[in-house]
Amino acid sequence: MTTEAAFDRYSATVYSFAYRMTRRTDLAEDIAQETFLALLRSPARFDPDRGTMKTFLLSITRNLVLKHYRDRGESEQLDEGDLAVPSFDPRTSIDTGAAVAQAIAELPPLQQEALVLFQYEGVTLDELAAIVGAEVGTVKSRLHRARAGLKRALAPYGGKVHGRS
Amino acid sequence: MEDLDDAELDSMLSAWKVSGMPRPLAIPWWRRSIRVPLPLAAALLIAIVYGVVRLATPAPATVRWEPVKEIKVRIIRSHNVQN
Repeated sequence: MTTEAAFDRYSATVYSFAYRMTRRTDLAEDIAQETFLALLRSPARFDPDRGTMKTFLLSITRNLVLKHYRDRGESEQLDEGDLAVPSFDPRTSIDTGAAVAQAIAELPPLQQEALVLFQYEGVTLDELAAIVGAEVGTVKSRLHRARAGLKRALAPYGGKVHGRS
Repeated sequence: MEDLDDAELDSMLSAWKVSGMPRPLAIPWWRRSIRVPLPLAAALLIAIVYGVVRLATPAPATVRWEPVKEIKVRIIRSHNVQN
């Protein structure tokens, strides 16, 4: 598959992942470009025996996102830690989407990426494990922690939306 | 306060939409490629090979015209001329 063909097929997924991890359109655009230029520079790095083009590109995107976190000095947040307890009050958010974005942003990055890739980009647990270079059990645990944290963090907002107290 | 259940969480998560879209891929000009039909590519290749071979082969030596360096005049008598 040529770089152009890969771009046509996966650019939306790559951009979406980068955007949800950074919440900035300009940064997501840059990361998406850099992901495909990396493929252009070294196409031989893609080994079909080790995974699909989609997982290969998402793993490049992930590395670029983590580099962004490191450059911002947020590497200490990469540790998984305990259940995330977001510090914001979702009831002050103007809409549900913004509340969700903010709640996910409060998760540790490793939980964020697991949730975003599984929930939004539709990758399987096996693919997720391949992308982040971890065991399936590990990513399953991260996913569980992320969802548990979000259930707690978004409960007030969800109560308002769904008529719960 | 009671936590959300799975269905409620999934419902809320679906509310977060992606903003913007990826820029068209900006491939540097020196990395761009063009598609060339096979017959045209073969013809170009043959032409290039022919040109290279022709340039590499030394041209055959040719007799160069040079001015006469020394003129030796010899007088021939008419009775020596045999018809």
